[in-house]
Amino acid sequence: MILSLASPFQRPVCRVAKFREAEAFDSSANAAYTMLPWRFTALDGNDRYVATNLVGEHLVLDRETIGKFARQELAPADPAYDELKARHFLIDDDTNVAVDLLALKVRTKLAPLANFTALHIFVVTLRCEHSCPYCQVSRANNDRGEFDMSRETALKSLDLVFRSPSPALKIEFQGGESLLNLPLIKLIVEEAKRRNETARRELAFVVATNLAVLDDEALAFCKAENILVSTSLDGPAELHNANRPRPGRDSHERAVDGIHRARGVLGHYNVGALMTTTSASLNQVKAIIDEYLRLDFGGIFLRPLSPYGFAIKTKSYAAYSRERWLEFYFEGLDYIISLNRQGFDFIEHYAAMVLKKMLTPLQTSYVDLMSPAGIGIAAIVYNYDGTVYASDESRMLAEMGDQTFALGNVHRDSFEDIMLGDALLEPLTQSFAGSVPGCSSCAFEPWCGADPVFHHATQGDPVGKKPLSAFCTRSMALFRGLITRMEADDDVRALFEKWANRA
Amino acid sequence: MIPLRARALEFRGASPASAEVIRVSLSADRPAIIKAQEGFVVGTGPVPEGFAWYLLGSVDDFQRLPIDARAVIAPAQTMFLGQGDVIAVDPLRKAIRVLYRGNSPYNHFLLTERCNNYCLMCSQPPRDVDDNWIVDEVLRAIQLVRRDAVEIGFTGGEPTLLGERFFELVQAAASHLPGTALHILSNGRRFSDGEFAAKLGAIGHHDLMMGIPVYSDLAHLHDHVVQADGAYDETIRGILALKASGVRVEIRVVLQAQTVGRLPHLAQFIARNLLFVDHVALMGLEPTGFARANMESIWCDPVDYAHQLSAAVKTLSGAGIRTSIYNSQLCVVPADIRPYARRSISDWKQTYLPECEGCEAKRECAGFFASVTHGRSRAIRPIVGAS
Amino acid sequence: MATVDVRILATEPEILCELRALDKGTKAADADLKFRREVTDHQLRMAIEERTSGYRDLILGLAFSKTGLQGG
Ligand code: SF4
Ligand code: SF4
Repeated sequence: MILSLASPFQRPVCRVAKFREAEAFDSSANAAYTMLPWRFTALDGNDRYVATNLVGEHLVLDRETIGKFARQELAPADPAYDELKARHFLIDDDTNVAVDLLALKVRTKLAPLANFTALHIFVVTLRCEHSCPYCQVSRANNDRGEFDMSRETALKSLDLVFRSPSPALKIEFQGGESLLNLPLIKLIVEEAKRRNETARRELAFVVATNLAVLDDEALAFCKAENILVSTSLDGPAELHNANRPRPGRDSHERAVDGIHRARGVLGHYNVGALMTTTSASLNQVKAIIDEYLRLDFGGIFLRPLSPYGFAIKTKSYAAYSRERWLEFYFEGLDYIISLNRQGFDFIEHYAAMVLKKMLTPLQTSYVDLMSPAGIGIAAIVYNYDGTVYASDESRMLAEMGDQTFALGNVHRDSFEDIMLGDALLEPLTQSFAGSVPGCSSCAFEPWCGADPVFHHATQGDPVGKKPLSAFCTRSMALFRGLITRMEADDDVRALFEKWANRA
Repeated sequence: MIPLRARALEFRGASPASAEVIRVSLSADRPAIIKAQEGFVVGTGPVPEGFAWYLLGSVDDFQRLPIDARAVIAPAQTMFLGQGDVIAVDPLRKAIRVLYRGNSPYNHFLLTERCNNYCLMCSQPPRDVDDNWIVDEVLRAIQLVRRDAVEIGFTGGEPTLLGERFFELVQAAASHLPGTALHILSNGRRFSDGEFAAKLGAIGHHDLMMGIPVYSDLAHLHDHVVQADGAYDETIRGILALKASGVRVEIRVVLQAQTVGRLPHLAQFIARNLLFVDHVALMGLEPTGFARANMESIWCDPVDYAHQLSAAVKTLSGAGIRTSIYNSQLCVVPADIRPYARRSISDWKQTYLPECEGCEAKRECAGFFASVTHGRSRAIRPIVGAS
Repeated sequence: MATVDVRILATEPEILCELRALDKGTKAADADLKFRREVTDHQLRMAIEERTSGYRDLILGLAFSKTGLQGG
């Protein structure tokens, strides 16, 4: 028998009696292939479609191939056939191990959900010396303590923290200005560490602070206890100060000074920054990024406009701003891509989180130390008064008078009431993207976080009418924008893969 | 090259009984009870009494042996034997086999020559023979291995074809060598039976790694390389079952004409589906056995797959998977992935070429398999002026 | 973004639809093409869902029943 081997470099023929040729092992054509669950959605006007399998592995195919594949007419000799097969869109006479691998990947994707609540946010005080217009929660700074979390509330909250099954626990202190209640932070850290001697979780702490009141005592404490610092930085001085008024109009100066001091003590990479996007940000994305470059941050999180608090109240969350945000975002993203081309290692965290879902078998989790807090369901918030919320956004909503997402109170309710009660589970199950009409046929669904709080806030119903929802518009544009860029340029694909693995 | 097997040797004083596994001693000063399990290498010094065997470099030494001593005359082997080596002396086959070398950090034991794959490039072509005697020999040898051995390996053939005896061997390694790593080469197919995998996991070996080949993201291409229909699905299921049983797994990919074309695809497949494996080894061809016979159809010059190798390494390491390149010469590995290349060819198999003269990377370079004079890249050039 | 509004005028004896452009820039031919594509895509999606629902259940069943490997 003649042995001829498939090789991209040569097609040698040699006489080795005992060996069978490659074709002898290819049974693809023996019988029709079996389609596994998959979906498709148009990518652009050029007849290109995005196809995703059950766990969101994707391929970009032309309309004709999509049609052929769906109608069971794709020939094994078609180059798309092998790609679809390797990515578990089909099984055939050759192989069906895809079924096992898909099941495993489904589990891997859902595992972080089973560990729900890895991130625990403690609102240790509502007091703040800033008076940011978009901030809904803060109270004037005075010494009366009625807006401080009490010792009892802190301890009861810790009971709940350690009831969470997650192997990694991250406790984040927020405010108001969290550092105005440093004594309580100290107590919580000490007590959490004590409990962890037997609980043995991977325990991490973050202090979210505007750094304006960061003194040496606080820094020394963070250093001694290995606590990370996360601060707000909205961009260049003018923008930042306009967003964050305080007596003296020196919020930016203090933030920058605080960043330097904190880095000096804690180490450069133990200080993170998070920006808030306001309508004033929308026409200066490059200046904002440059400010992060200037201060030598490894990346930036170009956050969506917040529909909560000030933004909604002042009607600045208008459709106009929403559409402008996408332009803002992609202008920023392209700028960051060009920076990377020039050799600056700089990451856009929002893309990175989405790309992680798109390109890796892992789920985005917010446990990673420097990743921004407060989005999605992976967080649970203990308010100063003991009220528990499903996310930071839910707390904001509650401060505006809407208690829908209040899960209970640490003084009145048990872990079961809070974590397994209707207030959390109902919107979660209702909005589980796969079961929402419109989403169930959307190829982007495996990557798309349903956002119950967002839909409740903007449409008064946690599921949302998808075609109208700003969330869906934004998500679709984001997915399409990322895929288009990867498809057009292998360097961008490599960069995106790198981000996906880092997120 | 050190000859590890020798036949048609001259035996004295021995009945042609079955083989005996003994430890080698160069030292005369041993307790009698130990001497009874050892073979003494006869040198220029006095020859003590009481050793189980005497190993001679020349017939002339025969005069100096104790009366009734059992001896084998093996000039080529004797001069290389060291303290603590383990050998099998086999009067029936008139042979000795070196099973273990005490001064080598890595030793492997061939457990069987049978295999259910028939790989195009197999360096140890399988034979369908009854070789159960090998297991007994290895079981005995494991007891004699130095207790501070760093690592031992089991290879074949396909070790899992031994069934229960496979577990017996792993158990022996776990029990006799509590500080020694165990590396097992297997095609993994047998572990698609989850119970078989669970049994291995249940032994709880302290430092076990299963090295399992995966050659493509497409089933039929893998099945072609291993010449066995349906092997791919079994191997993948085997890997899943092993990991589910807590056994560490290394994926091994041989770089040859059939595998390099889709190497980046394979890397992505591993990153998406088998992210939990413990190591991926991308291995240059060892042109012996079938590989030698099939050279023309399996050989691909490393310079021609440099691009694919580079893409694959970046995908794998980017995904956080520990990745190594074995058996590759540094000058034909793209500079950006050279840190992943390991000096993997054992000393006694390794050589360099005249072209390597003056190369600054020689100390880190794996070099070439000494046994092989063909299958060398056309692009071997000394690396100078290190970048 | 919706650019075309569809009204169903009759379902007997055949389905009769009226397409109405929502913004003035949309040409009748484009609207027609777009609508036809939507209809074909929809039919394909339904066919895929029907053909693959068995495997979806099987895979999800496996995913939630097996013990062992998870979380990478
Ligand atoms: S919200 Fe929109 S983008 Fe997300 S899954 Fe639903 S339809 Fe798709
Ligand atoms: S020249 Fe020789 S020693 Fe140097 S890298 Fe190449 S093969 Fe290795």
